Amino acid sequence: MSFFSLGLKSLRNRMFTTALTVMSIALSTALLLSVERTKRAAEDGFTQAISQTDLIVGARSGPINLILYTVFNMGSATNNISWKTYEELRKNPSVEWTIPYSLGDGHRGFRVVATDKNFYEHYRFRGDRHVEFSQGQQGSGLWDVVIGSQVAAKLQYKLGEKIIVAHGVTRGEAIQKHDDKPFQVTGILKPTGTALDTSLYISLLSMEAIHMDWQNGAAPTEKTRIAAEQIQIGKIKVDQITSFFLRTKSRIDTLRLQREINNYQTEPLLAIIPGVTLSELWRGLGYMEQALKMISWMVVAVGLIAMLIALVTGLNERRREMAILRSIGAGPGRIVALMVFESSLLTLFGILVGLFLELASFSLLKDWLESQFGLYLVGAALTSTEGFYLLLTLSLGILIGLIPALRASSLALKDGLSVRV
Amino acid sequence: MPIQIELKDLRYSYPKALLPTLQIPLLQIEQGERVFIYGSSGSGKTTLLEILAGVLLPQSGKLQILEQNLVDMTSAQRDSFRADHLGYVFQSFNLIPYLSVEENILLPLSLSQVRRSRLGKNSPDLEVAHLCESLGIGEFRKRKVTELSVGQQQRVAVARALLGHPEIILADEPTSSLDSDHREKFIQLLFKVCAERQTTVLFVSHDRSLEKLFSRVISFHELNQAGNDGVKKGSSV
Repeated sequence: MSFFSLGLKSLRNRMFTTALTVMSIALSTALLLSVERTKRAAEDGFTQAISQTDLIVGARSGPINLILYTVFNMGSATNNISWKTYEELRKNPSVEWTIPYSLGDGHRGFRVVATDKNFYEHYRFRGDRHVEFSQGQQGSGLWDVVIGSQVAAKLQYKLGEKIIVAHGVTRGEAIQKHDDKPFQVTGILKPTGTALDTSLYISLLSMEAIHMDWQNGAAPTEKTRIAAEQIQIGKIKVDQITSFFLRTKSRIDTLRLQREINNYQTEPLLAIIPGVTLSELWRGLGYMEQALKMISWMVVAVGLIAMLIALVTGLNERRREMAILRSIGAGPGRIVALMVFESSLLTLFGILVGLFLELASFSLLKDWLESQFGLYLVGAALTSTEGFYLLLTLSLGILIGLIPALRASSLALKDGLSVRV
Repeated sequence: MPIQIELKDLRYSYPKALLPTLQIPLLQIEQGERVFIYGSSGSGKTTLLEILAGVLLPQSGKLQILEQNLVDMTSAQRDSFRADHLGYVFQSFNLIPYLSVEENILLPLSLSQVRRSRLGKNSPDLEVAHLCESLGIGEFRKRKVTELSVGQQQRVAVARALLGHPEIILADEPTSSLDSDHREKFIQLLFKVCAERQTTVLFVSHDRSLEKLFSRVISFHELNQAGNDGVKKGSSV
């Protein structure tokens, strides 16, 4: 029998304490890994809220502001872009496609986005995911609206529902409504975990149509009002949009085009590379992640201290065992090795169980996390970061195991072959 | 027979103690001797055994076992000397409770290559079986030690001390937890298995009823001058 199977048998002998210790390390490891995984999913979800778009263009303001109101439905634009400018840029030879966005209206706190068919065709997020319908389809009429999954779920809208768009985005009841021009729901989008879920989509022409009789930002009077039936698609002219997404034919053109747009002579514009701005924004939010990580390391420390307590309190009962081992020739080094082996084994078991718990629960809860929290677990389940954390935890466990081990060997030296308790 | 154990002018006192616990002018034990050392409880008999086992180091004097000087060894060397050449039997609780009888007996082999090699061609299991048979515990080999009576446990301890044929057995009152009927039987079994290889037995006890079984009887009180000095000094105050 090897000296180390002695350690195994000793742990098995104290099954209950062993199981509790392993569990406490397992749970803290699982928490640490979960925080790391969630952080990664959140970061990926955030920085990939939009993909395959090379530039986002809006009136000149700040990059963060521009990305917030275009990608995250937060804040608002300070100015618009003229349709003429948009057309010019759209026809630039290095541009592959553009998606125009016209913002400003809302519906019960949700944003209404006016766009065109390019949105359905080219908008991408999280790599290659595109806009999909769970019910219905993109309407072709002037008064058709497509709604995001959360809009449908929260307001319990179904296909064919008549809805009224409000002027400006407000929570609750709007002050000014376009109630003379109701829209009909023709499509509901699949959940995406992005701001797409909380938006309503109409066409650029519709946006113009509902504001056709408005003048200088003021609602029409009874006299100036133009009834919905009187508006004909052919007569509507779009003269401005809020912003647009742009894809270049070759990535190499991106920087040149960005510079060109930022130096645009006719009107002040801002073009940003979404990936860069998103990463900047995420770094700004990084303190939350740090706090979470710190807390989970503290939990790991508590788990290891639980092991320390279990091992140290068990020492007194084991003094006889140590004296027996001394009598057959085990030196203090052997006793330290035996005890460190036990604590390493406890930590290793704990880490493996914790890893299993984390992987199993994330794979079981994957769908639920996606639907409830918009947390998409993309990428590898384990990265080198997690591997490093596990190794660090194991080393900490071994290091902490040295405390009872050294104490055991000093007790054994003191006791010799007679336990004088 | 050659001298196996030799102590000369040996002196040991515990750290911070005012008086020495041991002060032994001379003790010589030959190979194959069965020595009985009697003395009252707390007189330092166990301390003597711990010194012989190399667990404690005397402050001065000669400590030579099997022609090797233990005083000159490092503590690691003394540990492995103990593993290779000495078998130790405690008064009680000799066994590790979570190991089987057989695993307890095999324990010394995991620490001593010398004892393993002494088994020669015989497999350890065969040797354990032989020892258990001789000691009358053959049927308990696979049992848990907690299922055994105290007497049976002491015999397991003897089997462990003897596995791999160490030259010397040190026994610290191994019969004190047995009833009188079993004591003699236990000693006779011990001698029987020790006779096979001329193993030296050093047996300490406070109970003189067993001394007639031994080839040599020593009074610890006469052997150890430290106690006498202590009494004299104590009485003169």
